[in-house]
Amino acid sequence: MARIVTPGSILGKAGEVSDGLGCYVEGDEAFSSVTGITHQDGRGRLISVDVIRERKAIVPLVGSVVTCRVLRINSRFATVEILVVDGIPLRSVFRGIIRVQDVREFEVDQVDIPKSFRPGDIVVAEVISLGDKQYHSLSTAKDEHGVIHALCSQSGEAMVPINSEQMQCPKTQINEWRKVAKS
Amino acid sequence: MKRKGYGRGGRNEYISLDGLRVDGRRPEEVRHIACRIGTPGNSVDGNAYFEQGNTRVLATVVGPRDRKSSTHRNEEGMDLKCNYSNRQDRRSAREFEPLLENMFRSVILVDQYPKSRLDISVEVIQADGSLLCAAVNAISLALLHAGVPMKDMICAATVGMIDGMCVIDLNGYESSADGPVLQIGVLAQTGSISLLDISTRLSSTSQLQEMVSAGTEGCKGIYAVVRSEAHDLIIRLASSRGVLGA
Repeated sequence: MARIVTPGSILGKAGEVSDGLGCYVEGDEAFSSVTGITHQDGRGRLISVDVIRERKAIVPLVGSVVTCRVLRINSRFATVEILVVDGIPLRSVFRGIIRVQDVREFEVDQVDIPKSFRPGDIVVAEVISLGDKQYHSLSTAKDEHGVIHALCSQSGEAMVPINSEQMQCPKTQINEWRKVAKS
Repeated sequence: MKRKGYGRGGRNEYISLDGLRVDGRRPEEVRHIACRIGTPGNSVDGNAYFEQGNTRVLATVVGPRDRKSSTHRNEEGMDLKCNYSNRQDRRSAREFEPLLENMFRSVILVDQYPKSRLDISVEVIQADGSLLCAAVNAISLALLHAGVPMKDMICAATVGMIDGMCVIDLNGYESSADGPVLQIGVLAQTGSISLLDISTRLSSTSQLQEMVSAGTEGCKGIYAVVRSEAHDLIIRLASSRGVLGA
């Protein structure tokens, strides 16, 4: 049975509620931290409180998988803006950087940033640390992380990946270097 | 706002012989409350309008978002900034802002939002007493609208002691009475006190207890209105998205 709850509403005993979004535990009881509707899994166990809003209040944390857009590149790192965290679009962007040593797992000293990303690419990455004062540090070392969408620098067409390091433009047949995400 | 006609013989009368206050309320009565969560056509993350008698405030919340500048007070955690503006009384901002910041920092689950910034701003549209409390109530609603996780909702009320009688929710005229004024903020569901601010010395602890219990009752009344508004919001949003069946 879905229930409407406000911050501070008791959801149940701490063990009965799996720790999800919108809940917090104090003592041996679980409380709601947002206004929304309770969600249950198949066995009737309460799993989370859903805020019904256009966009949830969420920020990137260490371990979050984020989708971001490349803004600038130089030989040491790519600067990106984080758009989506764990599948939830952010209300406002956060800034992040992908350093050259975090681009891929093998032959780290051979990595060339201009051969991995270009401004405008959409990249899936993982947050590895909250970084210094301004930027979140991201990594695309895993196979499934990397460029998921890129436009050809000549024709402006969306390119299709041909292997883990190259993408091809369907119009001009030009190959371009990218750190491609394995789908 | 100055009113005339209540005074008699140099001293103002705040409670009539019938036991009613200048605006016809009983001592334990809170003024009419109206609130609206989420005013349309606004690009902020959360906003709320709160009205308590003739006191009207508007609160907006922006964030949690990326911190732009490199000067942070709080290196790892969340920066919470409160901006209070009352055009008639600019000095009160300096007093209220830290109070509001500390209060909401204690209730927002700040550890879930490292390296981010949350901006709260309150605008007093019309002032008629109990301004801090109206600001607290409005911010609570705006945070709720923004979906910022909180331990509990804060509701606040003022309690005054006039002619030996506890009166709740002072209006502007009653605020100028020289009795002690207590501002109390209560976590609505757990009942613990998050704000207690008193203007003058009290003669006895029993007096304080009396005021605190009267204030807690007042907060409960305010919370009832606030909660029903929050429920309405959820039902409205849920039914427009087809989340809720009935």
